[in-house]
Amino acid sequence: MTISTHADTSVDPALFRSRLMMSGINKTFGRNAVLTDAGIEVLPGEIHGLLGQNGSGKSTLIKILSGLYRPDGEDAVIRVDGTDVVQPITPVGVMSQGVTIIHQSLGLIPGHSVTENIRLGTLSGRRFGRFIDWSYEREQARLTLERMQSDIDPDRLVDLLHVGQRATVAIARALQVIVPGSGCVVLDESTQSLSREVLPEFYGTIRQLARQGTSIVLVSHRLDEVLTLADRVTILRDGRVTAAGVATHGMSEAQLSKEILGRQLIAFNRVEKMAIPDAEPFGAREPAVRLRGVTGEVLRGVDIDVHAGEVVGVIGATEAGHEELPYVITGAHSSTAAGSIEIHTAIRDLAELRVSQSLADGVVLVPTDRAGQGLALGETAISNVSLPRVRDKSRHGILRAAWQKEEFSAACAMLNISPPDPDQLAASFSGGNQQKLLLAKWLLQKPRFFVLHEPTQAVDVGARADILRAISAIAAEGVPVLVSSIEAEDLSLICDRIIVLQDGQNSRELTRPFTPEQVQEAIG
Amino acid sequence: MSTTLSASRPPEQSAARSLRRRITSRYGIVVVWIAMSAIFAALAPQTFLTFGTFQTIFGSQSTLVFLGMAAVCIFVVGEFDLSIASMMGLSATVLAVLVVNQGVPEWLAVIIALVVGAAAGAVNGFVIVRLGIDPIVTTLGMSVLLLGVAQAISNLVAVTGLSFGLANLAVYNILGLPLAFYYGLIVAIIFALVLAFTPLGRHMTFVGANREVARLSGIPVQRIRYGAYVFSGLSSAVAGVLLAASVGGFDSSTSGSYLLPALAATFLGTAVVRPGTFNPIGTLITIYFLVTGIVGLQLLGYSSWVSNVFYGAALIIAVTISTIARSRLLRR
Ligand SMILES: Nc1ncnc2c1ncn2[C@@H]1O[C@H](COP(=O)(O)OP(=O)(O)OP(=O)(O)O)[C@@H](O)[C@H]1O
Ligand SMILES: [Mg+2]
Repeated sequence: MTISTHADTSVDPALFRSRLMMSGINKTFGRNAVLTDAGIEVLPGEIHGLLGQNGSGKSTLIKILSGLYRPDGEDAVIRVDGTDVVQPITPVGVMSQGVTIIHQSLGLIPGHSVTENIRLGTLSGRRFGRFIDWSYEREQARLTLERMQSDIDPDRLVDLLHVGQRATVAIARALQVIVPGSGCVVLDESTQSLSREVLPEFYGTIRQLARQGTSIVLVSHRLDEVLTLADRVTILRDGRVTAAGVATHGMSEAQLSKEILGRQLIAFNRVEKMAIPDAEPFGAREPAVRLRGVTGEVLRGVDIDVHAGEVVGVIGATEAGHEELPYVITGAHSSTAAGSIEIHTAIRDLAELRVSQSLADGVVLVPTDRAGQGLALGETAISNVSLPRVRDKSRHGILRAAWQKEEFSAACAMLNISPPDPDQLAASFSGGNQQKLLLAKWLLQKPRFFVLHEPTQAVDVGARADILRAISAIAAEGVPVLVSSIEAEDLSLICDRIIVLQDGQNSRELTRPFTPEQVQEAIG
Repeated sequence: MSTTLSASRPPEQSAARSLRRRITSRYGIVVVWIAMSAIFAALAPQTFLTFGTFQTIFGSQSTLVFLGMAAVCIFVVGEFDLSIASMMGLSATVLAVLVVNQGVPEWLAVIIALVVGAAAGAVNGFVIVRLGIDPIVTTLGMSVLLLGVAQAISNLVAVTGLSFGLANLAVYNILGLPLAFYYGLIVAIIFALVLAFTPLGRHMTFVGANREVARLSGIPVQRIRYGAYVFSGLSSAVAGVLLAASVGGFDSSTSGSYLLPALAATFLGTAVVRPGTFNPIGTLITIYFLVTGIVGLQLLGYSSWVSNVFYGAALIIAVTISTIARSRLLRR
């Protein structure tokens, strides 16, 4: 074929080459231009990274693809396999054209079982008037989960699952409808909360799908993941495409992060913390917090000491207990707990502990479930951030605006929250900026013991450094800090000590210095 | 409309637009109210444009106002209460029966009536908050149960004969309007201030917005939910006392007819002042808006069925509007 024959045909053959084509996408919320002439082109069978800082418009682009938002103006073109998607776009419509989307919020239906969530779309396709055969559906759900190497109980309510398990269910649900060799799967930061052991398996599944000809769009802030998986990347910066379909071959993480941020990343550096006078090692001092015999659904008698100014990391494989620990020791867990926490000579029985008591002792928890436990998304950003302090900071029972505004602008400056608009609803912030709001809410509480669960989830490489810095700064003021996370790299950067849990019990303890690889290895 | 706002539009112009949109979305109902009044005034100038009509509209709704405040309080914290009208009916009946049949001093009877209402709310709270039973089921049951109790103590007849002295508590005239109007106005304003400017109000809002987030922020969630049910009972009891006092008695079988108007006004109130949220001032405005429509239509010769049609339609329209307002706020 020659170039001239291309020019003669009325249809651009490139249309047939691409699996998914979006171009000329504009979107404005109020006066805030979120996408400007944005787009993406994904080839059949390719894994395509969609990258950009928090708030750069990735999720918005995907929501436009699924019909949740409508693009502004008339220039928008959205094609799947060369055909325009049916307007107006509906989630069911694009799905029937082969596009499966896993949104950042996962989109599971609370109050329903794993089976119901996985089989919902398929159930409704059945003939009217027939009863649902639940044992069949349960078996199908189990098989679907097996593809994800998961043994989640299909009868469990999704509300009771860990965030990682929820992501697994959402992905399993999406994968079951893929016809091998066709279609396109969009994963909006779906891997962030998957547990580490299933990741290699999951990457295998993704690669396999791509080899068979299904296209994958991968939104992720984990650049190592992007570089190992993706063939090409499209990068958004402030809603504009700054790199369209650039091949990742031979790119380094540093190069990629510079492309994303538009500047060199100032990496988090432990030296900043070492600057504080730190005469004796933590081991020689009295611990500030003693956790004894911590027991919960998974945990079976874990003991941990945390010293003033020390950052202790807790890590483990799935169901090792590190997911449960932060909630049990702060009284946030609803089911039975046992053991005790001793802080500043006060000893609390974990079976009786309430969050309000815990907060009164100065124990502050940053939960991982942003939408469920962290923020009321339907309320404004500023009221979410100031919430824990409204009683103590009100004089004569009057809630004043001044201190809240002060707090909020301090938070925006510290964590680079964008947009720094206090009166926007939390729901209208991007995923990463919501995470920053959540951290701000609790950083401002001046904790005496700071407990965090996956503090850097959903944030971009720049914000990750900001958050690690903020946690270290709190510790540098002499606050004991406990971080539960599956991010070996984060832990190895900020922790003085890392405790590895296994089957709900202390298994190993690592003391500085350690590398991410050593931490990963210790999990086994 | 929102999609036509493009980035190239000069900011002042879109600022003006957004201001205009804010006003229409917040006070749209006030505009409709004025327009509606103008139409009635044009169609029935002799009857509608009189001080009597004004007094009918603003002097007769304090029962609904207090029921509306009960409903707002319940909805703000994310709960539900279908028993407000029955709690009101029970308190009104208790007052009438104690004074007229038992000869109890009026002041004491008023206090007992209020305590009865609050106690009924406390029972709701106990069953729903402590025992964890579904609020709709519980309060539906309570609603029928309390109606039955009120009918029992009144022997299924209307009890009348309360004194003028007691009536003055509600109907004493200031600037042409009865005291009860001012009670409602004051309570709505105080309630609105509490919601907007106190820690309690902020806590209530978050308990309604996301109970788990509230709990993890150290807010006494259970106490606030419980308190809302007690307040609901108390506010309903005030409604009952004012009603019985102003008309001199009460017929226990009529209480059911107050539920729907109160709920309709509360839901429609979410379209006013603070779009998408339950709020006292919005509810107050809506109550007087709705009654203006009904009085106007009745003056034009439509009989009493219009109020049912009007309140029913208002409820449906209200829920539709507030749903749209809420999603607008997000998709703006
Ligand atoms: N419903 C909305 N109303 C107003 N602004 C919104 C809305 N949804 C998104 N935005 C704004 O659009 C911008 C882009 O958001 P988007 O969620 O697309 O970012 P993102 O690239 O997915 O970021 P992240 O990596 O944090 O998930 C943000 O500044 C956000 O505040
Ligand atoms: Mg996003």
